[in-house]
Amino acid sequence: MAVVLSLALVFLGVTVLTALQKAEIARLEKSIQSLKDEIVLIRFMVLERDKGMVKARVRLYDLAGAEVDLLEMTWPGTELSFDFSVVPAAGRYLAFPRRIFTDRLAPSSGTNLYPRYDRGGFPAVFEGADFGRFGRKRLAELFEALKEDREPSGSFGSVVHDIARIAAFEPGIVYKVVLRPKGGIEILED
Amino acid sequence: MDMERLKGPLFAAADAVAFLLTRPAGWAILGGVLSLGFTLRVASAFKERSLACEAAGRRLGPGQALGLLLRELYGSLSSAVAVLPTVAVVLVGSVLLVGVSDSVRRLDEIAGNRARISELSAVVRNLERRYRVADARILSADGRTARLSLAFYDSRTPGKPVRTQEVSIEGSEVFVDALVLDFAYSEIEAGRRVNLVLPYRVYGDLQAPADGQELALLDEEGVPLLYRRGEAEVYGLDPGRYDERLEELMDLLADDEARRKAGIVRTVFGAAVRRKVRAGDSFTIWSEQTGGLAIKGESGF
Repeated sequence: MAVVLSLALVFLGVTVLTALQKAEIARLEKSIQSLKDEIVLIRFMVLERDKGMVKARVRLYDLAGAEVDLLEMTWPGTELSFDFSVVPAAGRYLAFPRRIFTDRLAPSSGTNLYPRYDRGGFPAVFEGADFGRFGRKRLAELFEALKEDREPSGSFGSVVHDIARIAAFEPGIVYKVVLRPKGGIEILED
Repeated sequence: MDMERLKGPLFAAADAVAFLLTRPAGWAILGGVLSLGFTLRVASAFKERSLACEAAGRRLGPGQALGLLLRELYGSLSSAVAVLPTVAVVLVGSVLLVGVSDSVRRLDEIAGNRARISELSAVVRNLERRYRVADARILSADGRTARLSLAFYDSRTPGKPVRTQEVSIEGSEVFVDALVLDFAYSEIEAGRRVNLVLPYRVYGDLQAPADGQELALLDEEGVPLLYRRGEAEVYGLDPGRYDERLEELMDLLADDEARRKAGIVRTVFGAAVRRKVRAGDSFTIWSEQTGGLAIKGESGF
């Protein structure tokens, strides 16, 4: 009887331990997945490069993936740069598309993107997620600060671009600009 | 005693017992065996009685046959009752066998889970890792121009900069521009690769990037000085092999098609981090292994 009882206790112990281990494995797998999450901020396609000018079509998206704005423009230069203001918030990062410039166009002379998604003071690129009333107010305040060129604490600018000699954006191919959970921004072929 | 060798027979026996005692098919097999045993016993008794009747010149009648059947049934039940303690012992032994087998299996599962947790933890650590790319210190800034000191780091020797350089920019915001080569997540997760960041120019918000200041960080063969190292190994290679590997990587950078075929590079692009400059300020640029660059403090946010 004692043997059976001991065996039952051992069995119960290892069952509980395996259940705990499985929960830990699930948590780690979720962490790994969330570390690889991406939020698509922009999709763009270079339409033409000619005579020192680059023409591109750029689409801005909100957090639900809905298109917020479409922009088709020609800029002087060959390398296209997308500038974002990255602001830390609640352990994650928010990316506000700021402007587009090129290798031949100074950032200060680039195309300002803020007005393109300013909907009554709220940054429309953050639609599509439930921030709550306080969260939306805070987002609007952050946006206001950025528009006034004030840097929220911990924020920084992040620019991604092609490099003509090594990795140029190919005309006709759609690229996406994505935000990673640790605040990094990448360009990937879509 | 080699436990591993015992596991095979132990698991097989436990599986068989569990199958016979817990599954309808097992019950059917047990019932079938008992029925077969009873049928053989009755058949044997009938045969003996028939032979005896034949020897006596008589035929076995239905009444006798029924009596014989009932007697054999009673006999079988009596035998079963007689062996009940043995059956009970066998049953308890079977339960113990299944319990021991399941416990051994669970212990194996625990060991497997422990290895999996360790592997996944390493993946999380590798993904969460970040490497210091450069420290920037603003030496002077007047709103129109600024002068900075940049200290560049090698991911292998993060404790001290491998090179420092002073640069000037036009404007009130500095952009530190780099070539970024982000490897496939499978490479990062396994710790086989570290995303490469090769800073190559600095410019201000009032100047076109092409007019920015180039950073002299490539050697005569076009290999970044930051990554040209003689003494140690980044990828578990000897120094000579390391140099070959580095040049191979540089070839990958130069050849889009080769890069795709190699399948190890997730993306190659230019990335700059931007910060307003104020005299006396300093900041650190990090390469995130999840991708891209960031400016953060020592402890992050």
